[in-house]
Amino acid sequence: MPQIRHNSTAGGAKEEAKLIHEHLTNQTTDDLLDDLSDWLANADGTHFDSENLNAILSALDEVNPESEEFHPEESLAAFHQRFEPVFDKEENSSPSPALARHPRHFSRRLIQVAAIIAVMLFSMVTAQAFGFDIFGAIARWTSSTFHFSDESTTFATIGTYPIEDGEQKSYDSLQAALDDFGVVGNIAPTWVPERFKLQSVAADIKYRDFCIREAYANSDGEYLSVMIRKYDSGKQTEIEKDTGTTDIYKTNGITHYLISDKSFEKATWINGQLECLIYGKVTHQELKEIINSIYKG
Amino acid sequence: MVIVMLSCLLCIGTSASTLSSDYICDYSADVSAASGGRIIVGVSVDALGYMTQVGASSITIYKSSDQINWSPVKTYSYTNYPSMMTSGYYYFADAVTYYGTAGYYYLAMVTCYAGDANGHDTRLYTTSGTRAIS
Repeated sequence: MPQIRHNSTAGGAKEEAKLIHEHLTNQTTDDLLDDLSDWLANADGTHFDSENLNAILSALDEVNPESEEFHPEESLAAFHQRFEPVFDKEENSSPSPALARHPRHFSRRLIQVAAIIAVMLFSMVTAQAFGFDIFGAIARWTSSTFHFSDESTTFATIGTYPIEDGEQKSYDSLQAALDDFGVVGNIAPTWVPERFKLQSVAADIKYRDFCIREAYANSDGEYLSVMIRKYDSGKQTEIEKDTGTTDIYKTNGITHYLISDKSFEKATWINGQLECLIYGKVTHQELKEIINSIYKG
Repeated sequence: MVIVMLSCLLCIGTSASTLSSDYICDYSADVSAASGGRIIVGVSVDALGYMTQVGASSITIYKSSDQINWSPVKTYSYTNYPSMMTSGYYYFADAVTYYGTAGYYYLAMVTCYAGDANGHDTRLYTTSGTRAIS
């Protein structure tokens, strides 16, 4: 029986709670964190499923009850210590008439605000580590994979399908392939490190899902590839990564995600209707230069 | 309070890391419905270079009437369907068609594969469910 995310609408609240419990039972910590990130992705400021959240938190507590690495009280104390001059100033300064009427209330409010700020700062760092794009909510990554969860921009478009479903076609360059598909937008790199020589450019269509792949190799057999495919938010591509952080590189209005995968460097982004991926044995800086070359033309 | 709890729990994941693959760059699969109850399972696997074999080593299709209880109805294995992999190439993109029953839901669990003379690696991908149409 596969572990899946249910979309059932049948049964009512009781049945829903039962389903949630069944779904969460025997899940690993990673699975539960995935569920938690799904919950976060679906929640907004006014609507969220508190029952589902409680179930996930309870399941996580059962799976990993010993983890007590974060202590809110200690974090608050550390926050106070770090910004001690601010609090000293507040305590030593003469209160305004309005504040003098409720000195204890103000102090308590300040502590609450400080606690919230401390926790939010901590949460933002933690969110980055666990792949929540807190600035755009368009990409998600874990310690081992990366994928997009929504469409971000609407620049590049596909004009036509020059080959039939199930066919493959070779081209002399990635730009020639993009031109053949009537792609409008800056997509193809115009520079790659000189040690790489072009091996092939191929486009294929499978059930209206088109993909263009450009492959390079050097004399040592090292590999570099540029892949362009039609973006489909319902078909998430899982991109392998190591435990390193995912860097965000913004240029020309496009957010590029730079991912390290041991000896490989990868960059992925969405441009309109297209999902783009570059990966190969290049340096982080070379990868940025490849990206920059896309927009210089 | 919720933020505090989430922060505490998210910390748990720092020790839960999975090694990335030496063979697979990225992978995906999806299930779509076509007329006549056809269920089309698309698979895409990109390798980290040219591989001896890349593709799907197995595809298991599950069926459900309620999207709650799922039962396996068909398993495609590379040993029986050699076209589920390609040789000497750096990617695989293809699809299999299963003839289902209109009104039922189907999903697929795909074992993505890439390997060369030095070894191989696999990744499991579970699609979302799709309702077959007549």
